[in-house]
Amino acid sequence: MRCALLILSLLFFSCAQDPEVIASEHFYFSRPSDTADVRTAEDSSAKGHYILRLDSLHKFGFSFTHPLQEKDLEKRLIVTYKAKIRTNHIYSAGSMVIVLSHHDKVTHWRPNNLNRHIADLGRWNWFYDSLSLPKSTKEEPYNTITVQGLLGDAVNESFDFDSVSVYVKGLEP
Amino acid sequence: MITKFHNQFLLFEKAVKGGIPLYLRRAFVLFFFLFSIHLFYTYIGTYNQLSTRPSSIHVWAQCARASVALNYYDGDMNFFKPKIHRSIDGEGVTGLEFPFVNYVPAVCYKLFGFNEAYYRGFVLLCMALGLLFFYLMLNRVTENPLLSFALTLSAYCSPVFLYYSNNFMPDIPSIGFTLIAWYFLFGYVRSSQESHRKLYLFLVFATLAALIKATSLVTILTVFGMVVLDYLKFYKTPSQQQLFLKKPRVIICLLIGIASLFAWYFWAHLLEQQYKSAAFAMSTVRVTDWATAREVWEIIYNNHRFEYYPYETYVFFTVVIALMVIGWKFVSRVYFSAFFIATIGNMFAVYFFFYQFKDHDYYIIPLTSSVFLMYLVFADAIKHVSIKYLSVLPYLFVAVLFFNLKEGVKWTRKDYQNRYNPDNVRYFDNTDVYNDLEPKLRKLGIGRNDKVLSGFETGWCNSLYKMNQMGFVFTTATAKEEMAHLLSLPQFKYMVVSDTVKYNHMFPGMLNYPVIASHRGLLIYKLR
Repeated sequence: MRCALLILSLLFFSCAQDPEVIASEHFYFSRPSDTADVRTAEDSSAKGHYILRLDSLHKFGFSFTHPLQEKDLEKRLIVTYKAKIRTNHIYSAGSMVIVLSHHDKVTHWRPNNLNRHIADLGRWNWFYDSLSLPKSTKEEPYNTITVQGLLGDAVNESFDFDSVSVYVKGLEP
Repeated sequence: MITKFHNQFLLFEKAVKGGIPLYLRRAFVLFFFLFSIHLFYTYIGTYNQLSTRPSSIHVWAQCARASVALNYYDGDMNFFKPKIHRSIDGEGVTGLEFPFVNYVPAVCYKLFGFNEAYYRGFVLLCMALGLLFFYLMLNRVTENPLLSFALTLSAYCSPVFLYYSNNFMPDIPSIGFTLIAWYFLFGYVRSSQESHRKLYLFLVFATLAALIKATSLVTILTVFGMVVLDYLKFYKTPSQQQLFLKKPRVIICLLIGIASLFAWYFWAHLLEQQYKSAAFAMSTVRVTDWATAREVWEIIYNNHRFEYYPYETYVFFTVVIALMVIGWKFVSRVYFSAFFIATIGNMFAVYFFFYQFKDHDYYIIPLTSSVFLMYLVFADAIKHVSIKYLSVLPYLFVAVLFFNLKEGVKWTRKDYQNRYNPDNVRYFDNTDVYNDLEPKLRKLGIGRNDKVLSGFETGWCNSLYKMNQMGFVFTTATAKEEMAHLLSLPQFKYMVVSDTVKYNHMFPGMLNYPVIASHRGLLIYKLR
């Protein structure tokens, strides 16, 4: 009987493998100031809480950069990010940009348009997404990952970011 | 010394088994399979996709099948009039394979509410049951649960098998039912054959397998071949005169199975012609020239061969075949004739549908009945050799299979997870933006039967299914005149466009309609 119970309990045991988190960053936005690189604003729906606001004058938002070690480059690298986003424009140009560079020389530039995550205009939309990175090769090497928020060519658009988290993960090849 | 060890090990095995009550041994056999297959599915990540909407490779075929189930649920549950979301006039009635795999999930939707997990879960259950019956069939022969499970896993551990095991395609339930059918047939053959319950169960499962995937008719035809061989006294031995004691009854059962198949496909063709719907392939797709045959073969060889099975499994196949040739006198006539005739039948199936193998990896699934039968032959041969010469032989093969499967399972997991990698999903399918559109449409007062035009569609009815709207689709191949005609039809009340820049470029001046909503880059227009 005990044996059967042990077997039954083991039926619910999970042994799936999770990718290892190599680096992560959570962005918190503060009160606007003249010296800040990015533009923040107070969230109209939550007083005292500040969000990142991108528009035609402030196109670049947060930036997360992580230098990779040799042992990381041998793994299958994945960048995952989650955030709340809000826009007032049907044809939003809000993007997350992944930049891979090798000693300041950019080898990969990949913008991911966030339009597909906007279910409702003028409201906060939670999203989670991930992207597999190419292998670092002799022809196109990289040793640094940068993840940025970017507003492209939209006119009259105001694009907001909040609660941004970025992770760089590695899986065994 | 080997003989002494062999005899002592046999005595040891007997003593161990004799000390355990039969019901506990049977319970252990069952729980061992359930535990092991659950661990396997957990490692692969099979359960992670149970609630996922149709996506990734062959999303088109997935949505078409899922559409039939959703239309049963949202419609009148008339089994004999399956429908899909796509039609210009009418309700979308279409001909297709026997819609058992679509109907059962629809019943679940009715009972518990719509959730694609019921569909995926039902397909997975069919596969798991098929594997269970195959495992029991092997265990009856080997009396060794470890070896039985190892061989079952070796035949099943394939990227294609795992990807479609929790999917929407009928190929997996078909092979599952085929395995169950063989279990009952061999059980019937081994019995006194005074009760025909197992024969009728074989008929039910073999016919179901063939109805939901025509290539599985090979199972029924294989048994026909075995009956013919029985008439020719092929199975006559000193201990038995014939394999089937009541051959006319067996033949009648097989004819009922074949007649059922022809009856359904006749009905399906009638539906296709009457309602002018060509959503599903209903005829053979042969290749008739060498250049195309070479092209198809190259694609199979370069792209699909390690999706069918890992490299290590092909090595094991070679070993198995070589050992069967060497140990020919230990090979069972009954099992080998089933394997041989089924393989000939499957080769004919490949011939009749060869062109489909180019782009459809799942076509291989029903044909893997040959692999399972080959392992049955092999298991039986191992048992006979082990009884006579080397009782630890089954355990040696367990060890061999452990190292063989180790890499194969890793490869299968990598390929499976790669198919659900978000980059790959987006490469094959851009319809995730429609996944949660339906509630918004209902809030706007758009009913399910308010026909919509949807584009730019990349499949047959992917977007229509995902937003659960009856309607029609336009693509990048739609001509301007055809688009103008569609827009003029009074039955289309709304239009959902995924790319208005492309639309205005392809159909200039045809977008003078009010926008009533947007959703993840989609724009919803009111036509009238």
